[in-house]
This record gives sequence, structure tokens and C-alpha cells, in this order.
Amino acid sequence: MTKIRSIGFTKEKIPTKRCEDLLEIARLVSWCTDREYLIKTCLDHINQRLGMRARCVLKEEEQLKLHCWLGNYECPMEQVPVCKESIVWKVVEDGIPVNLTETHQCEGYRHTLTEKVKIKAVIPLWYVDSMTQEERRVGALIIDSGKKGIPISDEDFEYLKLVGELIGAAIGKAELTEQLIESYKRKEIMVRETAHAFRNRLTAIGGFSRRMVQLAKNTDLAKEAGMVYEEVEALETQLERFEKYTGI
Amino acid sequence: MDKILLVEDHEAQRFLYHEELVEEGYEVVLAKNGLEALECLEESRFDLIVLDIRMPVMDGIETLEKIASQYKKIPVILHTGYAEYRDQPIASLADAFVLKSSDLSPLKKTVKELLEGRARGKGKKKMTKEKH
Repeated sequence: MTKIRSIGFTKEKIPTKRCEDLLEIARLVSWCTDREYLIKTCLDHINQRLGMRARCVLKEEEQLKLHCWLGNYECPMEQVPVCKESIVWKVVEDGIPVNLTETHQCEGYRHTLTEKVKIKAVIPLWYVDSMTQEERRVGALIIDSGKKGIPISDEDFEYLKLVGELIGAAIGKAELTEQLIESYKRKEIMVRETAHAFRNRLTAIGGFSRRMVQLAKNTDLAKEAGMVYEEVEALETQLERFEKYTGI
Repeated sequence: MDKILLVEDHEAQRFLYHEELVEEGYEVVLAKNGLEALECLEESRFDLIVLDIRMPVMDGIETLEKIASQYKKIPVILHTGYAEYRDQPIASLADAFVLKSSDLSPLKKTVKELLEGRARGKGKKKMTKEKH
């Protein structure tokens, strides 16, 4: 089990304008359960407010694929999985954001495409699974300044880390909501089928015991069949209450 | 003698309803699912159909749609353990809805009413939401 991390940021590093941006994103996170919409909106913020080029990669089974691409330039890697030896994979696996301000920091890593690894910030996306309390690493934000050779400032990096935390939390919430809805649907079907099976059997047992009361009139068998029927009637009433209570 | 087509997949219930309806003086033909029911309808004439909903091969909903288009004059009783079908639009194609219960008198009463109505020449009744 992975230990839960705290969101490590210092408030004084975030200027007021950025705080407003973050509040706006947090507000979006609080109600939005559409992962794609949320990511795109957050990246739009980064793109418009900071003038940075932003994209998002998300884990799909064992691969890391591009999900969102913003900025005035063509996406060169549509549907191409991110290279396993890239720094992006390393960030996703370690869960630690990096700000590549010097090209030498990229040494030892491969770029998904043939070109060299560029100066950029890579922010991991993660959340804490509410069921297991484990940390789930789901992808990363990749942001560069859009100006050749100009790295992302410390201040912007702090801001991006927070945006990453918020997107991660939103993904977690969306996935939890999805899991809960699925689980509820499965249980509802199970409850309905079980109630139906009980009713079918009770109908048969009750119906036959009633017949036995009639066919064996004035005998001990009729008396016992009558007792069976009374029990079935009680169960049918109970079942009806159960169906009403569970809303099926 | 009125002839009833009883469509029910559950063997014990099929036997039970058969016995009870025969004792009421009806001729009862049994079918295990919708497909068998449609075969019976092709071969013979019926005065009433008692139709379960959840069945294998062909369920009661699909069967009811076919009956409603091909055998408009035969009254149909939907007889099921699922109360929620009562308010579904498909139920309006049937003439009555009876919830399964160990007390068979609501079913027998509905059968009698529909057959009497038919005998009086009223033809098919509008859907009655029986509270049985």
C-alpha cells in the first residue's frame, strides 16, 4: 500500500491571480464528473492564462496515451503511446513532478518521437482511491513555455503542481462515481432477480398448500397444509415490504 | 367450453395454474415460452391468454407485441412477479395485469370477468390495472 501524500505547496508562492484561477478550477472539480471535459478546461486555463503549451497523457491498461492537446501547433503523436524510457513515464511511475529547466536534465531519457527531449514541466496526475486508500497514478500533464529555450518559472511550476493535484482529485472522483453507479446497478439487478425467484417459489408453494387444504378437507394433512400456507402468506407480505423498501 | 392458452416457464406454477383453471371448467393448453405460445395460436383458436413476462427463448413482452398485432381479438392477462411492469407502456397492450401470488383467486376472477365480457360481445376490454 502506498502512503498518502499531502499536497505540498506554500501559499505565499501563489500570487492572488493564480489563487483565483485555482479556485475556479477547484469549483469545476467540485461538480464536474466528466473527466475529459475537466481536463480540457484546465488545460485551456493553462494555455490561455500562462500562454503555455499543454497536453495530457493518461494510462490506458499498460500504455500511456495522449488525451488532450492544446496550443497553436499540430499534434505530432496522435494515438502514439508514450515511450517507456521517456521522462514522462518516469514521472508517472514516481509520482514526483519535475521541472526541466536545463537540457542536461533530460540525459538518459528517450523522447517518444525522434527529436530531443525538450525543456518542460511534467506533472503527475494521481489520486487516492477512496475504497482502498491507495494512491493511483493515472497520467501526467506536460507543459512547456512555448518559447524556445525558455523554462517554466518556479512560480508557474507551483501553480501547475496544484492544477495537477486538482485534476487528479477530479479523476478520482469521476472514477469513484462510475464505480458506485456500476455497483449500484449490479446490486439492483441482483435484488430484483432474487425477489422474483422468491415470489415464483412462494407462489408455487402457497398455491399447492391451498390446494392441499381443499383436497384433503377435514384431515390432519389439510391442517398442516393450512399452516404451510399461513407461513407462505407471511413471507409474501414480507417480500412485498422488501420490494417497496428497496424500490424495485 | 372456453379455451385458455397458459404461457408460463416455471414448471410447478404451470402445473398449479393448469389444475386450478381446469377445475374452474376451462380447457387449458400449456406453453413454456412465447415461441411455443405463437405456435399454439397458429394451430388452434383460443378465448383468452394468460401470459408470463420473464421467460426464456421469447419473453412475454415480445410475445405480447406479436399477439397484439396478429390476434387482436383474444384478451390477454399479463401474469408476472414483477410489479414494475404494471406501469410500463407495453402493459397497455394487455387487457389486464395480475401480480403473481399464492392466492390464485385474483387470477381466476380476472379470467372469469374477461371471458364473460367477451361472451357478452364486448370484445377486447381496455387495460384494467388490477390491484391484485
